Amino acid sequence: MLKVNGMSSYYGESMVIDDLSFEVPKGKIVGLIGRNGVGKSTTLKSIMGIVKTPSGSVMFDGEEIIKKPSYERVRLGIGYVPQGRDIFPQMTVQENIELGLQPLGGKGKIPDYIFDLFPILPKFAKRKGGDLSGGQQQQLAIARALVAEPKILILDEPTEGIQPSIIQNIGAAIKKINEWKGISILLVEQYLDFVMEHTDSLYVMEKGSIIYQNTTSDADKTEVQKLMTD
Amino acid sequence: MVQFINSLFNGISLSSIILLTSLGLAITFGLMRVINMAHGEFLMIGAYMTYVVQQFFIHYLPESVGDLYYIAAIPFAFGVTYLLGSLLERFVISHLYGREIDSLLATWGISLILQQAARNIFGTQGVNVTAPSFLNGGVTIGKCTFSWNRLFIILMVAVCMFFIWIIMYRSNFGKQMRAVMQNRTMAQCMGINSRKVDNITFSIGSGLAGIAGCSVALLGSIDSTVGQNYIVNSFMAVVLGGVGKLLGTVLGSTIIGSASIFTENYTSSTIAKAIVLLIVILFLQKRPQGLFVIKSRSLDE
Repeated sequence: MLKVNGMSSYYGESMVIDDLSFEVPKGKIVGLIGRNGVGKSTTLKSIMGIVKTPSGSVMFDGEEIIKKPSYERVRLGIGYVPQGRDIFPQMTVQENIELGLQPLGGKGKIPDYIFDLFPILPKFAKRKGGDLSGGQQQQLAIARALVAEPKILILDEPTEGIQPSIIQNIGAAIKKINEWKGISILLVEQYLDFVMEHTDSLYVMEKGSIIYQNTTSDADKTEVQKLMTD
Repeated sequence: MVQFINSLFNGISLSSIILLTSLGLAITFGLMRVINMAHGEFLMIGAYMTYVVQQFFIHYLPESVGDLYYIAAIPFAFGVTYLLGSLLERFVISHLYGREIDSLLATWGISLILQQAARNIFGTQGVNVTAPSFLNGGVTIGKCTFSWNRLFIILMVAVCMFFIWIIMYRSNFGKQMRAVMQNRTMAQCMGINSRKVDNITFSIGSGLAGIAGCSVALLGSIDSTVGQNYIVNSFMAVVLGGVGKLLGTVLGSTIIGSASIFTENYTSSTIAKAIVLLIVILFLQKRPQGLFVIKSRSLDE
């Protein structure tokens, strides 16, 4: 589904990622974990095309996308939920969700299952996106990314700064999205328990490279924990 | 009292012209952080296009439809300035995003080029447009006379404002534009082609200045500096109103327009300019962000 090969990324003038390769198979949930500042978010931004990626390859659904602008990548079927959610603060919840239709040209219908996943959203429809709590914004951001029915959903630290009960909801939602619609998921996290519970396979990142990879069922949690703290 | 009402009326009509030019400035600044120094020249081009259309009607069309030239001039002026704005954005401004000082200088240079081009084509002497006969005269209520051409300008601006509002808040393009204004990167990640949004927005802003040029053509003679006379006021209106909200621009323009007309009544037009500038300076000391601010990520940075 998504295959990154030998990619390097720059943030301004400094190289953050050098020669990175990994893969998200179709219909799977893949976790990418690591400490702060090892380049996890930059990896996702590289896939989205919002940081410079002078070399390497990003194949999506059999197509090379590394040279394409962000908006074309999204139209091919990538849903992106950034760190910090990036809800449009001056727009209502309704408008934020409707913006999810932009990859389809702004027309179409919002799939009903999104409101089954996040039943709180219709209640807030008229409120400004910026007035919601972190957990509500996170649910809104995931819903917004799902509106255009993407083939892959990319989530950047969806549990960051969110209370435990909502984290459970979000975890359950991720599972359902994957099961109901067969959407592949790439999940960046620091919260190891969450990744162990919700992914099929995982990669550990350190200083811009992958240092460990395994299926989640075979991975030894204490070993992964050790890699992340050393 | 009569003088007061007349000043108020003239103030409103000046405000509406300022509003038309400042809208374009405010939107482009809010969206792209680009200050377009050549914006006034689009007003000038709009005014000259009115003249061109009139000449065309005089020379090539029967006299009976002569008055219709003005109706034809409005969309023509909009179209020409829209296209020129689009070209300017595509070939100059888009290469200078994020370099505010550079884009300031570049657009100032363009403004000089356009002024000289106008002098080369139309001569240094001002040209005049005769107002169509249906705009001659005015309505008299009591002792006050409201001239038709100023009433027409106010109406035209109101119609333009209505369209802008529809575009910004009721169309899909407006949704894209507001998304790019609030968070450019995320808008791109929602599948919005922000380059295209920039280009169309800039073109619409230029087109509005072109329409403002049409209305200016009704009020006096047109020469290469006509844009400069109005653009200074528009810059002040934008600064006063704060960026990002239509209402701020409307209020800013009204204040600047009325203030210039009223001070002009009691002093001279040169003193009036100085006094208005002084008011703006004093106001900005107290409220550097302008009358209205919207809190958004793109503006917080």
